[in-house]
Amino acid sequence: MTGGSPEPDDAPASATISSDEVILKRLPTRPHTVKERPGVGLTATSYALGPRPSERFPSYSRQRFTSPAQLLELASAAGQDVSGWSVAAIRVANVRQLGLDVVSRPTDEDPGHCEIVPTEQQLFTDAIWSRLAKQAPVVFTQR
Amino acid sequence: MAHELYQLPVEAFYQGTPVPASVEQDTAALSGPGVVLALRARPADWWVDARNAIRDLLTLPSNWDSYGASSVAPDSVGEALGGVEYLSCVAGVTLPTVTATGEGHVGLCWDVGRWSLDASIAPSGLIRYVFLDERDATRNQEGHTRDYSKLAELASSW
Repeated sequence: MTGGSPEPDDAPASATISSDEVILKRLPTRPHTVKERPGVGLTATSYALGPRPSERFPSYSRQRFTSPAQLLELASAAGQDVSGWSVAAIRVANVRQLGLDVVSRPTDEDPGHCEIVPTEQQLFTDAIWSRLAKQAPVVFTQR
Repeated sequence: MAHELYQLPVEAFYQGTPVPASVEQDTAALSGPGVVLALRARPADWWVDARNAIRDLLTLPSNWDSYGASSVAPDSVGEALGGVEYLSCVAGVTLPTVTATGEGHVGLCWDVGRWSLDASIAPSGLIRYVFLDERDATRNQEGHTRDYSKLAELASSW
């Protein structure tokens, strides 16, 4: 997952998202997208966090606007069976500590939609997602 | 019966004396220079679980993660089956978490607390890996290879 371009100049100011905020990611039950890490607990795998082929930047949701349960409801409304799915949480501060940034990209379906973006200092690398995964604990699981 | 040895620098077996050239050649063929991997007589018990998990990836539809992930490429599964069977024969390598990448490749993840190893296997057989050591950043590695003994070397670290 190497690559990704730094943000264009007309991107929304990332300063609107506080480093204290938390962003969320859906984690399906199949395949294993979560991993028990000694001393850390249940977290996302690195491969659950990076951009998908159709994405320039990977999608997340701001917990301030979208709760974990609501995030799974969005997928359910789109036709996914989310039984057993989980949600991982990442502090924006941890993303920025790795040199990346988080920008708000609200959609009609998800007002909390946001993206992790590369910066002039740090492009996407596999190691970035491996490091971030260790800081992405599972905070919610759909029963 | 296979010896249950973990990897050691080859020099550890020849303390105080030069390592014979023939040994260096043999171990270089088996793994990286200066590293010996101990092979089991047969795959570890976890191989069956890993094999089933890898095969199961073929049943994933596209967009299995709701973010647009691709379905898993059969050639990636085929490559992973061969590679992981080999890894299961290396003493010290434990069951990885088997997952899929957004690109539709097989993903393997190990995390023992001190270190973690993430590896993805492309349909071409190319392996991309990230090794992170929490206590010794000089051991951190990110790269690609087609050689599963490189993964074995990292996944049997101590």
